[in-house]
Amino acid sequence: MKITLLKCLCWILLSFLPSHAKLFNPKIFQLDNGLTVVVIENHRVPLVKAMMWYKVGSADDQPGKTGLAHFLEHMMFKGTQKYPGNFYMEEISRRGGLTNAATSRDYTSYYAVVHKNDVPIVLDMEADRMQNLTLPESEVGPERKVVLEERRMRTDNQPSAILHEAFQRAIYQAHPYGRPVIGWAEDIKTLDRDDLKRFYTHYYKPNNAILVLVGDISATDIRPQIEKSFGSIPGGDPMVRHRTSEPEKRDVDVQLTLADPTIKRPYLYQAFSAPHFRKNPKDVTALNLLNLYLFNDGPNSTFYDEFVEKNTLATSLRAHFNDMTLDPAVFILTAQPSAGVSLRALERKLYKRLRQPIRIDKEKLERLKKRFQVQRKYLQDDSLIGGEILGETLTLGIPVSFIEEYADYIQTIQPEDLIRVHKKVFSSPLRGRAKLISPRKTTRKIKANTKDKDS
Amino acid sequence: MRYFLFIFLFQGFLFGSQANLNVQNVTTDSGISFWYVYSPHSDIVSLSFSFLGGAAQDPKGFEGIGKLATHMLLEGAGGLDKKAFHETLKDRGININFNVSPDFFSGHLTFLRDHPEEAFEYLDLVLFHPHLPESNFRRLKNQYLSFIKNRDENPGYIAQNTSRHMFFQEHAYGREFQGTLSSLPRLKTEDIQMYLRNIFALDTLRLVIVGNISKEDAKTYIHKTFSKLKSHSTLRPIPTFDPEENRASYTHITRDIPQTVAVFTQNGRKKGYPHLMKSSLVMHILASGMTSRLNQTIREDKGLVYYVGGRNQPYRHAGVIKGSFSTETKNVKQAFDLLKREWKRMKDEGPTAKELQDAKTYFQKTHLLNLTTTPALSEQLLSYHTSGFPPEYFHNRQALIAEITVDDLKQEAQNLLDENLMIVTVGRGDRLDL
Repeated sequence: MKITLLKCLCWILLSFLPSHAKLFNPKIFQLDNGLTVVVIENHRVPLVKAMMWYKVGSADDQPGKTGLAHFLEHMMFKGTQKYPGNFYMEEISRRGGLTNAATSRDYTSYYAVVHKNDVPIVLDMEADRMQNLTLPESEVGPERKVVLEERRMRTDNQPSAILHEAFQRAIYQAHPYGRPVIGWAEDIKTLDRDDLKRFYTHYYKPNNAILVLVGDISATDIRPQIEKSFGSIPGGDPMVRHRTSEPEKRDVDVQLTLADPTIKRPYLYQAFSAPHFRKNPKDVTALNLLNLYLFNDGPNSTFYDEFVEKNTLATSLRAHFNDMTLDPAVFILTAQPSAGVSLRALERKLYKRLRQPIRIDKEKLERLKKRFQVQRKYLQDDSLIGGEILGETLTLGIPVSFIEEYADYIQTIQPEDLIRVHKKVFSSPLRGRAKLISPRKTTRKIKANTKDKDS
Repeated sequence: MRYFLFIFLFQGFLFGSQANLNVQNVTTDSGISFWYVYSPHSDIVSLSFSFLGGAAQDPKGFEGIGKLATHMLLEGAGGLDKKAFHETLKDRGININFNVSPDFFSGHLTFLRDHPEEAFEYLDLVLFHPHLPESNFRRLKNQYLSFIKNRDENPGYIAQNTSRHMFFQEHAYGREFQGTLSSLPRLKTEDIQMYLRNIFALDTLRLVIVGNISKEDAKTYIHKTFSKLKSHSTLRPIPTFDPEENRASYTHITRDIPQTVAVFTQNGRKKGYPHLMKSSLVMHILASGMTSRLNQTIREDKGLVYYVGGRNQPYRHAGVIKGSFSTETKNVKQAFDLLKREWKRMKDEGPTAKELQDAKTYFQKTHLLNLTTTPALSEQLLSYHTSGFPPEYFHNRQALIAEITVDDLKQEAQNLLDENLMIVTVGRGDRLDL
């Protein structure tokens, strides 16, 4: 799972807040139909970012229907009877705004950034497409082709993306996180209007959504408009998300190799099981700190310094850990060997180093923790970012109050917590490993091996 | 992983309460002028500055000097090695980074308002006492070489790079600014040092400071740091690239990939062109963003692409209109037929009154999107400053847009556009009959 550093920093940053501190000061209320509304007031710029978060993502796609959540995201811009065709897009553009949408494994989110005077029309359009999406047959066909071109562009034309997709498929034995967000091409080709309609009718309900407004806006002033736009939409039954859990114990170590003639310098990927905040928020917090301590803080990170800066065994070493997931995810390391260093040698040395006991310098850890308190002001400098952070958090079922309490954990994180988490994550068997290499012959192939852990 | 349906961002215009933002031209006692904006909205202060002499200064065969310089300046400074330097800055909430474009070398300093003196001291060290140890330089070059080896095989890069070389030919803008497999091994730390010595000078310095800092403090710190610069830069002259006619051509590069990447190019408008805003409006309506004619025709109506777009790229010595799309090989000809049809229609007929009105409103209002953080505002102002606009441009631009008529755009479209494009495709099979 790819995660931006910013998101990681934001999450950890939130963790560092003393419980009395208010970073975004959200006002939260709920309509009778179950729609949760979050308003974050920031009057720096006369802009408002209106975000609608639906608690449905690609991991809710059914087998054989992968890509449905993402396809529907595209179709949400194809109009209603009241606002037909590309009206939504054209209206936002005409008003000098910005609009976008994203599908993740756990949620689908939409946003429009507009001048504060334009908020009423945005709310009206957003409410309208929550219940009145037309999904015309004439639009489904061309948009399916667009999605397939998107897939070719993002995945099929990129060897690293093909390997990433195969790797995700392999390291999740049972859980739907192993499916590609955009879906498999053969599934996308079969998705039709009925599929879209069923999915839309089932999931796009006010009680399955969170409206977040951030910017030059007042919760008191905007509430009547929200009631007017969304209040009459009927709520639905409580949503139940059926997802198969991963087996507790993994018995196989997946190894994938993609050999592609366009790869001139190889890459290495290693995946480890990671703690999840629902079960163990303290370990997740410690792992986030450990991530920076060892990998993602440039020359100040111990392993990065060893492998990239000092010994120049690798030209890159990076960790990817998204703790903002509904279900347990994985911790992935990527590395590229330096010229003259074999992929195998780097893999062995990295794996060996990871399993060795580590020493955590208390002073360095304290500096790391303190630095996030300093960085907090940078978050407050961004007038719209609070919507993104709180929207995602609440959509994953973490209440704002939990975030405030979560801050207490960070204050208690000590070197022994990092040492414990290090041992837990890196001494456990690998979830999988993958290599992106240049072939001896110029043909592309994926080779998969599975073998017993101990062999 | 996220799949964004689309994104469109444009630099436009100031609107609403931020119209009161006061952009002042201030001069230090030593004669260094800078743009100053007092912004009490947060605790962050942002300084953006640039020197003339970007990556186009790289001599032929030595491409990558400017790019590597942006990294080498952060390899430690003063008595601090790289590790200590980064740790010290991060502990204090100070960010320093550099960028290079074909024309400019720019720097950005952000810091908390409580520590301006420290922040400027570290910037001073970076600019005047950087560490450039040979071992660090070797590591950096190796990292870049690794990146370049895979980059050179990427179909999107192949298409863009081929297009750039074919368009600019021997001109400096045709070079690969990130360096090449042959240029990087040749570079020495002395090349970086000489490059920085040549461009770090007061005569081309442009400065913008925004944030919670008083004007007097800004003057003091800017003077203290930047007055050490020498007075004049030593720059290689960059000739003007202004071909009279487009050199329409079609080049196909065969690669075994499921989707063909296409890049199209024609002459554009350079910086300083008096009707640049008109060119931008023409290209917005024709090719930029999700409501453009190209997008409506090729994506929305036919479903041939995920994205198609093009825009004018104004450099100091040349202008180029460049665009791209990707589609299954069997659809390339149809996509280009539609693209050329729309290109010609805009040239012959210009925009409608409604299209112009929508585009003008968009340009006037969307500017606020660049003002949501202090660094974003300072960078936006620096781009105006380096483009030669006065501080008042921040406010006056709205009226300049309002004056533009349909006839203005018809004339600009007629003069600007040429459907005989320079085309490069990378994909399966042989060249098509485009």
